[in-house]
Amino acid sequence: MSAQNSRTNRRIALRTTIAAIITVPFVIPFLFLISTAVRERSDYIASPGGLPSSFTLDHIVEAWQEADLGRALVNTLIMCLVACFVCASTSLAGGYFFRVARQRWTGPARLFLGAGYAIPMVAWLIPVFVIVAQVGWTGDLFVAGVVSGVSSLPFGFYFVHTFLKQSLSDEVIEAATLDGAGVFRAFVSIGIPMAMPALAAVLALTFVWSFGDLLVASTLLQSNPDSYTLTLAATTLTTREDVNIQGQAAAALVSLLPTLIVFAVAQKALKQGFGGGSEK
Amino acid sequence: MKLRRSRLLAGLAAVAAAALVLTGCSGGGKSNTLTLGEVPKDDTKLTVWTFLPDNYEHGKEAYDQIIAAFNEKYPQVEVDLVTMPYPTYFDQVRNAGVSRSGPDVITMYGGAQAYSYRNSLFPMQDALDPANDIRYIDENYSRDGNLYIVPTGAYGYAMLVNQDLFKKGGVDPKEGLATWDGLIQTCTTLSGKGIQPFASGWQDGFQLETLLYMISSQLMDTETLAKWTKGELPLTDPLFRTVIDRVLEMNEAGCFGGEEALGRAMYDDAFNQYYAGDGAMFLTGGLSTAETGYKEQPSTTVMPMPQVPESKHESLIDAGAEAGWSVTKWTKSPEAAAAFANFMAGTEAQQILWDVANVVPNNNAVKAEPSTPMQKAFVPLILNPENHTGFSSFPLEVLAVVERNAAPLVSGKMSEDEFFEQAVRAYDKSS
Amino acid sequence: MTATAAERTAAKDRRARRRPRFEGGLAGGPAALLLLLPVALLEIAILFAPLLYIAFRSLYDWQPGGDSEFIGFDNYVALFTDPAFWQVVGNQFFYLLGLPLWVIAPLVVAFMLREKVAGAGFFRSVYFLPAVMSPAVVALVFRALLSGDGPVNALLRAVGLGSLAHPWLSDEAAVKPVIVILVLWAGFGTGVLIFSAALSAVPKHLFEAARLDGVGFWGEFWHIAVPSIRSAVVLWMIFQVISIFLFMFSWVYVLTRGGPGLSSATMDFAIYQEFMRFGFFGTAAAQSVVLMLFIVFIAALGGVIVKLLGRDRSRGKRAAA
Repeated sequence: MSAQNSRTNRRIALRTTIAAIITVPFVIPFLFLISTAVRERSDYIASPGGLPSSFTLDHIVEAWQEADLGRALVNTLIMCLVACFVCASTSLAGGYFFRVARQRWTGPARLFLGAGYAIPMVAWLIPVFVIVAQVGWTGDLFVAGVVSGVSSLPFGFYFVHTFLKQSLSDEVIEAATLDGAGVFRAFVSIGIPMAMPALAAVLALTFVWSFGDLLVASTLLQSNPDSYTLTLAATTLTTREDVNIQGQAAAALVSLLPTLIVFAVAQKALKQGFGGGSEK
Repeated sequence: MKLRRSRLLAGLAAVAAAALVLTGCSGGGKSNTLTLGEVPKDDTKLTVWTFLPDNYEHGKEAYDQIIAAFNEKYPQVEVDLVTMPYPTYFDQVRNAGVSRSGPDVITMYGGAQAYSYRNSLFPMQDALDPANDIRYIDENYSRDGNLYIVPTGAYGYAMLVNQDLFKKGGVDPKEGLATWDGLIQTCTTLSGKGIQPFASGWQDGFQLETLLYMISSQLMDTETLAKWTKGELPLTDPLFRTVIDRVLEMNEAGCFGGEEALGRAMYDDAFNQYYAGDGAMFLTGGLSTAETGYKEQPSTTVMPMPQVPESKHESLIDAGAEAGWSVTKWTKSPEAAAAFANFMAGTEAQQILWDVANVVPNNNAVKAEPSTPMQKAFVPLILNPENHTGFSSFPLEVLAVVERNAAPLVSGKMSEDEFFEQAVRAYDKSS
Repeated sequence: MTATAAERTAAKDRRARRRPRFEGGLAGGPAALLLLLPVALLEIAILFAPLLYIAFRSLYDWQPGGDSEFIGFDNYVALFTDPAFWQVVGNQFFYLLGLPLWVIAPLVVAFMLREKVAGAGFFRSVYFLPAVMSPAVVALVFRALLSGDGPVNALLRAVGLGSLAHPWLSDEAAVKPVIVILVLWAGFGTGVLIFSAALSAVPKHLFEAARLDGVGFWGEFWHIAVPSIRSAVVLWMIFQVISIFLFMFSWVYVLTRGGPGLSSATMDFAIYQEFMRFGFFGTAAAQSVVLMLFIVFIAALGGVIVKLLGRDRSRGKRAAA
């Protein structure tokens, strides 16, 4: 028995060590980002890759003020929430539909709509922008949120569908609908609760993708500085003459916090979402 | 957001309008020229897009003053100046052009850049205010014979010289940089002493693009420049070959610091290398950069780059308009917009820009009295009447190719022939 | 337990024989179509209609605001005869070679973390850091780290591997492999998370049985773990493939601008340049269509391959049973 225990312990120690070593390439760039943001500029220039020999919060304060990061943060959150709502709600409905519908056309339809993910964003965004501009809705965070949400939609509904295929059995669906309850009742009473883990995953991913988006924001929001999101506001720190890596790093740190929080909260749900849900 | 019926109808109407736009049938009355006209007395609003104020330390104040002065002359015109971030500025102009909506006046570079946006801009050659005596009009024409911008401001490419580093290297800049051979010799001497002659870095590569402008301007006489502006000078002309030969000569002499400079990405731009005192010279076109350089390295002075032996000029530097202002084709107030563009080129605006933001004027009636040491050194170089530039007529495709092939060319991984083959192909694609 | 397709169909047939199936296969009748409506409408309006428009415009010398002349397939011909296009296509296929690495690396680590590693949750969170940093910022950081006199080279010199020190991003031969590694870095944490979750749903007795048989780490990995989470692996593979074609833009733009030369350029970067920088709308439209067809073709190819593999394996299992 003790021989087996010590073998197990050795295995654990080996794996922990390997896992710890692997963290190094992930921590270092992150540390570099932090250090760039809090070092004096002259210190950075003197030894860009070296250890910091100064500390200042000036870059963060300046970036915050110059690029109005406070407002930009609020704008980004608004846009992300809209995107999440649009993507999650429609993904739930669509994913559930494809789970329960078994006609000959639903399979190809599902693949077709899923293939929407393969359309280059630059290609579909430009005509969309033309229409948005004509209606006069540029600079509108709500519209940008909807567009951003739709860009994740093919992935969202397909993912919910895949999840429900494994976790929602035919018997449960039949039971719910044969009650005479109708499809919407079934959707609300069975579909949504069973899809919760997948929903959490879609929400979290949509949030992060929307948060880091620059293309939609710069296309739809750039005409109105009051509506700039964090990514767009960060670009204002770069001028024709100066890349301003300190300002960029500072702005990046500011935007890191909300996403880290969202993911910490969503981690558990994510595990369930990808695992298929049902206890086996 | 509740879609009330009226909003819905308005939305549908707009979608129909957009569909019309997308099918390329714009509503009639497409007049293709702008002439100087009287600004109507009715209240109107102008949306102006620019990235310029961020370029200068007191840019915002300067532009606020200019708008106030403009409103004294035209109180009925409300000006909404939107300063946009530079990295995405031209993309936004591109988008505005596709949607036929947005700004009335925009900052734009002339020549090939404006040509790329020609479907969005009014030709301005008949709308220039004759009261403005401004320079740099001819070379900002595009190859279709139209002038799409009102050129404003002046830049001139010269060298910032760190005299302390020169002293350390045992070279007197006034002697060493007086001739081209002297420059080459200087590079050899300085690098022999472990001093990086030219500040260089990843962002601009070896500043190949800058040198391309500087040397090609030296090699063009007035006739050749006129042909180049019209798009009648092919890239296979031997003068471009000479430019590259001379740049490679500089590289051989160690001017750019050799292989290590290739990977010098830590300096986001060569700017930082010069400011830190690690480069003895730096090619720049802006007075504000010179001022910063002077602040960081107090022994800085400004000198012209010497003429290459084949130069057709005595003391020319590559100098031209800093930027320009264009009127968009979908503006509802073309006269007011033209008035604004002309106002930017006028004496009042340019005087404010000089006094407040250190922008050298291109309006000959503005007195740009140099007071700081950098101004005293730089301004006469810029105002040299011999100056000209072909910079704005380089097609964007060619510039993109030059930009990404700069490092392979100078490091020897790409031959000159290959470099020119790609550049010429890009040139042909754009004509 | 994730059943194979064959077994699931068999089970369904058994159930169907016991009970009537849904009428016409549509649970709840045509009202259910309303559930599909938002997805379909939004996608068609915002994704597909614009694509159709772009495809339409790719047949013109598209000049928004000017005269757009109909030129048929000229844009496509110009594209396919441009050596620069083929170089970029070559780049894309080179990047695809990284697919095994991007799939197997997180898979192995997720498997390793599966049982009794101290602080597995902490490790997974650290690996996840790249996912919350926007690509533009990450690219900026790496440009600084990988420069000639940056920390990576400094480290190499410090451990005596100074001869390997390179200007990584300006060396034509090195830049693509470097980007492959950066893509691995960026997606690693997400992959670990996905696979960890998928593995946690696999019943433990399978692994215990294998351990009693003494198959060892790699035996457990290849014969138990991977087959059990096949759908997650496939999903991740498809996601990575799409990323190569569609999500590299911000990397390339900030890291290398497609350089040196064109050696690191991707198609979405090229499209962006054609649209935005040069205003060659017609060519850009054609490139967009070509890119989309590429992706669909490769995804379809991948789907076919996976199906073939799945069929073999299930046939093999039945034979063995």
